[in-house]
Amino acid sequence: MRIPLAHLLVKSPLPRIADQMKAVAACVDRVPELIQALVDGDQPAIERLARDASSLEGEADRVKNEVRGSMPVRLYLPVDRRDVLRLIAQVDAMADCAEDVGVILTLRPLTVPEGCETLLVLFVERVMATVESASRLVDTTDSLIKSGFGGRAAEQVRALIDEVGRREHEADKLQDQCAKVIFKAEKELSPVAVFMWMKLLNKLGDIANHAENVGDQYRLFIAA
Amino acid sequence: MESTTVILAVATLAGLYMAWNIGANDVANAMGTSVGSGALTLRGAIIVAAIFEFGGAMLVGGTVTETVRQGIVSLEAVGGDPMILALGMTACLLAAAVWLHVATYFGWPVSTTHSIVGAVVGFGITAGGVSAVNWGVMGSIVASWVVSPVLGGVIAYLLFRLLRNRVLDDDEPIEALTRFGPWLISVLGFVLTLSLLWKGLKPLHLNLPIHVALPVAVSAGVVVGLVSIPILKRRTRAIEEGGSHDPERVFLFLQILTACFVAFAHGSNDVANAVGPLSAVYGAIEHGVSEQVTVPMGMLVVGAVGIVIGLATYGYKVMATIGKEITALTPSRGFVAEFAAATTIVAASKLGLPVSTTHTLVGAVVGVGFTRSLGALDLGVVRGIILSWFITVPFAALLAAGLFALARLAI
Repeated sequence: MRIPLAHLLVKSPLPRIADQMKAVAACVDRVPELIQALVDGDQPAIERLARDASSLEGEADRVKNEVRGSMPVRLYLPVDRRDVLRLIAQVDAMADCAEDVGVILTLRPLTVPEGCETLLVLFVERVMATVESASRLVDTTDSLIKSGFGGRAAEQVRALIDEVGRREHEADKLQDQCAKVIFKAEKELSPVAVFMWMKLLNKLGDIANHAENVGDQYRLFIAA
Repeated sequence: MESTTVILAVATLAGLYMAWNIGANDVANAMGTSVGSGALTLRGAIIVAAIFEFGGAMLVGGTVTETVRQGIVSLEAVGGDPMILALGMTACLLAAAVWLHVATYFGWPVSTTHSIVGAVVGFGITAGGVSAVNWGVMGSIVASWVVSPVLGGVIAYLLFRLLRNRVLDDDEPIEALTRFGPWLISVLGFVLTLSLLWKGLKPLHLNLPIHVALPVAVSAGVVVGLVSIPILKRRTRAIEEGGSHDPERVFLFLQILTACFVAFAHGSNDVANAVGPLSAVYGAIEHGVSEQVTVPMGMLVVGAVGIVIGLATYGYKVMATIGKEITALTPSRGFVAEFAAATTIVAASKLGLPVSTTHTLVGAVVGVGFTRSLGALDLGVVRGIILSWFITVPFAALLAAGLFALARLAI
């Protein structure tokens, strides 16, 4: 058959980033459970959840490679291909950080200093809220393509990007508060424990940072 | 049996095969865009194609047929022997058909038009030397092969930008479309009427000069636009009552019009690929070498019937495949691509330039893609098309030259 039109109009790889995001979200979902286990002091649960997060990260990697594999250079996309690749990398980075949270908690069992529990749980809630916004943002890709990256769909996307940014800022503020509480308790904690706490807080904060970067990539997509 | 009868029989069979091939592949590509969006069913596409291919071939197809028959190769230069001309044009049909068969087997995006033009050039050079080919005409034909996809792309790009600004991005897109749609239909009516009337078919007294044809076409466009206003309103009301606010549903209806337009444009240009050489063979055998013979109606009928048979016997498979693959081409995008391609092709037909329908349509779709409104385009296809420009003509020319040389030895 001579069907140049069918070969020309190929299925877009862009909506598949939503599949990648789903796999990443499944992995990141282990983070609040990990932190709850930390607060409860349940080390066996931490071990189990960390293993879960690690295997879910592997699954997210597999989906990521599939999406990348569906983007040969000869494709003409409505957005810059390099921006798409950067977006894929940012989505992937969230799962990497989630896995690292699990790793940090298994390397050296930590105890939560008094007065930090609620703040810590709240911080993780804010991080997860940022990820959730980013997830909804990625889900708009389909309608964004349908509207040619303009019009009402672009306005909705702009609003979502702002939401991701706001939520990341909220998460940031709580991260700083948590750090302050840790440093306040530095006398009771061993230096190594403080070091590990900072590592942990940074990894948690990075999840939100990468979610915000996802938003920034979408800002490039809709920039006229 | 006389050798002329044999030649005519072979030429008719080869011409029919060419027409079948055109119907099975080119028409299927052209109509596939409407089937893919759901504007037409497979059966509907075959019916529309049957009617409008026929109409396009009959009413506007003569000019391109003349070009293929006697514009590319100077009939005097190949000698006064009608037998040479009959043999040569038969060789052309066979060569083009064989090349198309090979290309179709491998799925190469070659053009029927380019194959037959290449074959005719090959025959001309073999029969009458390099000077037998009218290189001026050939130059403008080759230029039109590059210009037509680009022009289709530019029109599609501009039209879709306009449509997005005026309709799709509007807060009330369906409302906007009822206001904007009649203008589009007006332009469509204008282009069609002008193509019919200006230098149209003499037997039907349609060959009006431009200063008469233009005002008539403008009024026809206005009338069609006015008539479309209530129809479009009723249509949108029915859609809104069905609870949908998707403007694509209205474009689905508009796309039926452009599907007819595409079939008409295709008929006006591509029927010549089968009929041009065939009528040359027929003319040579019946009247000797003469440039005065007009294209016999019977030949156009043969070509149009062959195309419809090709579409009905194999093209439906191609259309079904295309329809499944091109879901990204929503009715609004399909409408624009078809409108742009068909306008370009009809314009080329009026100038007597045989262009490739499929390549023009591909150009138009790429044009829509440049507005960032398609998910992804595989530019490997564009590369393949450009490659085919450089391969088809030499190959078809060599094949036709070889076949012709063999046939001349045998006679």
